[in-house]
Order: sequence, then structure tokens, then C-alpha cells
Amino acid sequence: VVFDLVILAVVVVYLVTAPRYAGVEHLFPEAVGYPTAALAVAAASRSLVVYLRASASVRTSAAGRRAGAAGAALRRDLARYRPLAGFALVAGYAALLPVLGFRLATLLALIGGPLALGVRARRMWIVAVVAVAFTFAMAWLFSSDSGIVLPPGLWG
Amino acid sequence: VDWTDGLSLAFTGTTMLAIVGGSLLGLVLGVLPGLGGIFGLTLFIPLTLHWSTVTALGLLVALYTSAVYGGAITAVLFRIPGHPGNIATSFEGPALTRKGRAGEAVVAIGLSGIVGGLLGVAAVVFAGPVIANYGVKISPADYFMLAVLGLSLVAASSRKQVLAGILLGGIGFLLSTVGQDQVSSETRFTFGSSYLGYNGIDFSIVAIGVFAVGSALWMLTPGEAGVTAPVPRMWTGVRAGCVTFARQIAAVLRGGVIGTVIGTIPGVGISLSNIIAYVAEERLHPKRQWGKGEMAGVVAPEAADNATLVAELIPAFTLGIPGAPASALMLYAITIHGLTPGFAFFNDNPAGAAFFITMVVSLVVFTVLGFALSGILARAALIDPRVLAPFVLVAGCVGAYAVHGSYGDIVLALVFGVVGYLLLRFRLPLTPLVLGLILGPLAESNYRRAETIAQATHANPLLSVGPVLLGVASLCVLLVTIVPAVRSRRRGQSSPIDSLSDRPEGEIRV
Repeated sequence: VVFDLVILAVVVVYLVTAPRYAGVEHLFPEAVGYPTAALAVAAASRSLVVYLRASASVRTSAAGRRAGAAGAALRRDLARYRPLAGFALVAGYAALLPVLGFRLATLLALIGGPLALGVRARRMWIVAVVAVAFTFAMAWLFSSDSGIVLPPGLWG
Repeated sequence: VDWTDGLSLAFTGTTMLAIVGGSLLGLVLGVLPGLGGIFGLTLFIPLTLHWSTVTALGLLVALYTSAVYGGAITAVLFRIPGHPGNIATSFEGPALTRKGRAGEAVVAIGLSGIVGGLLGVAAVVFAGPVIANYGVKISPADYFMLAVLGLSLVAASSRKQVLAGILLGGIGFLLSTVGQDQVSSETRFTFGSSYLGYNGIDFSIVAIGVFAVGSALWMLTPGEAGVTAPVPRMWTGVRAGCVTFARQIAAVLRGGVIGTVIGTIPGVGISLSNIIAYVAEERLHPKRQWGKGEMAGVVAPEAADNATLVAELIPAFTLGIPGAPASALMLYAITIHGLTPGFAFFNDNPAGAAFFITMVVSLVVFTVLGFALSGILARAALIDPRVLAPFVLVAGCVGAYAVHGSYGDIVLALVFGVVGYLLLRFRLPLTPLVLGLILGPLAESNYRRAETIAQATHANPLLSVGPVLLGVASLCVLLVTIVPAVRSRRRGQSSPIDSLSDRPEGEIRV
């Protein structure tokens, strides 16, 4: 997981800084952007699979159950920092907006936000559907009549 | 007021659609934990910037008036006042729900809201032109003092935090000076930032930061989680609600009149009018079983709420001095749509007439929609704040970005979001900061004008005083010195109004 996260971080840094150093602006993202993005998605999904398998095996063991009780207490303590996490989420969203564009950044924040804040509901798919509807409704509202152009992102 | 042209402007398909959409949005925002009409206004004012004036104002008016009804539904069902104006409703509402009279109460509240709102509209329509005509005769020095009075009233109404209210209002005043000087066009206090030099600190972005981002961060605080109570059946109460409303008409009218009178005083506002209406009913009928489901205890406060909400527009639309964040936002909305508060708004202005017509229509629309959808709306109050907060934060960012289309707007909204959260965290009032920002330019420009006049006549701008200025200045001194002193002396023997309304803004949502 750590190895994959390092790859992911390198890819994100590369994506953010590449246009600045590419020299030829139109080279990015057409030639370099999509393979790099594919690598990033592969690294992220592999990290997720490995993490889910590891956490499933830990939960079933006796030590895992003891750790689970400790984890519940830890979660209660961590809940105090939720406003801070909320701020980190919105600051991250604001930072990613020019890079990913309105649609992608908003979907990421609306689906990833509740997960990052500790929501583990079975009905997360409803949140995802509402997030998609909300994002596209906002994009439509802005595109139709507001006179404001929402950030298109590096992929336009 | 030009009613004939106003009617033809208001009764168009798009305006009616905007009223229905605004009412739905307002109701949803009213019941959602942590949100409300002010949040809706902050987000939708920039979005409707390019719409036609009456359509945009139709949506905003509907949003402004309907959120309070949404908050009343959750106050009755779950004892969660969605708005500071619904506190008194939460005293009797849950007891009525336990008795199986939730539907009846929600219908009666809606009808009372219509009566209260109509009383408020009547007050604005009849008193507005008179005050606006008088406003034309007020000198710039008097206007400056009126702006200071507006802030003093807001600070004095901050109950136990008068000093904090004055300080925050002063900070708001100071922040309003950032950017271009209105007279010389020189940039001030920008620290070399081109964004601040060009845009200054926009009132609407601060409002988004404080009321949207700040309250979203606040709703993530542990202990702010939603309720888990079941939602009762509502449809059974339509007929009973109408009968109850007819029986309680005297209480409704009393609440409406109290709300209208309080609404005209800047700074007192909706958070107090509903409680005063409740206490008035309680004092008038001491033998009734208060706290155990007394219908007069929900209809009178809700009539007062709606009346105050509309009457608050009187100082804002006549003199340009808002007494509450919501009326400040409505003033901002009419200004950016090219309408001028004061004499011009009330005299032969079809858009001004259309504004009041859309307000009356929206009172009826949101009551019908609110009751029809109350079962679904009530379920929205059960949404986990951890799911809701990201949506609010994202909407806040997009709303801020819509003001100038600049990333600087988002950064500013985030900074004021943290400020709003900290104010809620330390139980300090939010209103003076925001009102200081909108009253600041009014005070400054009029002071500068008074100064120019005084220089031309070789007199001191504030020493060449008239009776209005002297009276208003004395009132300001009284409000910020005597009122807190009397309060601190009475600390041991608090009045029922003080004890009922003594809740921090964050706990009742903004």
C-alpha cells in the first residue's frame, strides 16, 4: 500500500507540475496526461484492494477484535477533529478544482468526503447518485444562464 | 406603488416557476440540519445575477420566506428549530406531535404564517413610502449616525455579549474599508494583493463563508448529529388544522402584530419576536397547560416569525439600513438587480410592486407545498451531518466562485468559514460582523459626504448637528452603555424572554 501510495503521490506531483515544465503546452495532457492518469488510477485501485483484503483478515482474528475495540475508542477521539477534516476536505477541493475541473473535483469531494469523514453506510450508492445529480445540475445551471464559466480543469 | 404593471410583471410563467422552485429549495434548506434561508440566499444571489429582475427576486423571496416554515416542521416533529425564529414553536410542537396532532399543527402554522406575512407586507407597503419619503430629507451626517445606530442595535440585541457584538461590528466596519476607496479610488489595506485591490472584501462572500462554510464545519462537531425519531402521519390533520386556525385567529393576529412591530426595529429580529409572541400568549392565558401541547403556543410565534421576516425589510428598503443578515442579503439582491432602496423603490416602480406580489404568492405556495411534502421533508432532517457537510462545503465554494468567477473568492470564503466556525465554537454572535460589512460603506460614504459639505460651509461635520443626529447619537450611547449595565444588574433575576432565548446561535442553526 505504501509503495502504491508513493507512486500515486509522484504521479499527482507530475500531473500538477508537468504543464509548467513541458515547454510545449499542447503536449500535455494529450500525449503524456492519459497514460499517467491511467497509472494513477491503477495504483489507487491496487492500494484499495490490498487495504481491503488486509483489513478483512485483521478483523476476523482475535487480535483484530481487540484492536477493533481500541479502534472504536480511537474513532470517538478522532470525531473531535471532524471539523478539521471538513476544512481539509474543502481546502483540498479548492486546490484540486483548477487541476481536475469542476465535475471531477466535485464528484470526488461529494463521494469521497463522506467516506473520509467516517460514513460507512450500506446506502452510500444513494449518496453517489445524489452527488452525480448535484454535480451535473450545478454544471448545467452555470453553463445555461449564469455568465460564469466553471473551472474546466487540465483536461478541459 | 405601481400595482397594475407589477401584477403583469409578477404573473409570468417563469416567475411562478421561480417561486415554486424557490419555495421547494427554501423548505428543504429549512429542514436540513445546519442550513436555512440565509444559506440559500447567499448561494442563489450570485447564481441569479443574470436572470431577469422579477424572476430572480421571485426565487429569492420564496427562498427567504419558506425556510422558516421548513424549520417549523422539524420544530414540531423533533423539537429541532430549523431557524432561530422557530424556538418558541419547539416548546409546544413536540407535545402536540405526541398527542397525534402533528399534521393539524403543521397546517395551522402554515395558515398563521400566511396571516403574519400578509400583516408584514401591509406594514411595508403602507409605512414604507412614508419612511422612504422622509429618508430623502435626511442629511448625510444623519445617515452616518443611523448606520452607527443600526450596528449599536444589533450589538445591544446580542444579549449577554454586547461588547463582543460591538467589537465584531467594528471589525466588520474595518473589513469593509479593504479595497478601493469609494471617493478617491485609491486601494487600501490590500497588502499588495491584486484580488483585494480589485474586489475588496465582498459582503456576499463573507456571508457565504460565515453562514455556509462555517455552519457546515460546525455541523461536523460531535454532538450535532441528527435525530432518529420516527416521522408521524401528516395527512390526517388538514381539516382539523383549518378549524384550529379559525379558533386561534385572535392569537394569530396578536402574534402577527407583535412580529410586525418588532421587525421594524433593526437588530431585534426574528429570534426574539417569536418568543415575545409566545410569552404574550402565556401571560394572557395563564391557566392553560403551557408546555403540554397548547396550540396558541405554536400559531402565535409562527405568525410573529413571518411578520417579522417581512417587516425587517422596512428599514432596509426605506433607509438602506438592514437590521438582520437576511434583510441585508435581500437589500444586496435588489441592489445588484438594479433597484434602489428608498424613495425610488416605492414610488411608481413596477418591479417594487412585483416584489411584494411575489412575496404574497410565495406565502401561499410554500404553505401548500410545505404541508403536502411535510412527510418527505421531515425525513431530510434525519440525514447524517457527515453526508450533508461535503455538499454544503462544495455548494459554498461554488457559490463564492460565482460572485466574481475567481479562485480568490473561494479562498476568502474558506477564511471566513473558519472565522464563522470559531465564532460559533466560542458562542459569539455572527450577525454584527456581517452587518458591519454592509453598514460600513454606508457609514463611510455618508461621513465623507458630510465632511465635504462641512468643508464647504467651514463647519465640523459632526458638530453642526441637527435634532435627528443628536437623538440618534444619544440612543447609540444608551444602547451600548446603559442596556448592558441594566442587564448585568438584573443578572440574578432573568426575565422569561431572556431565559427562553438564551441559546447560542450555533445550537439553533443559522
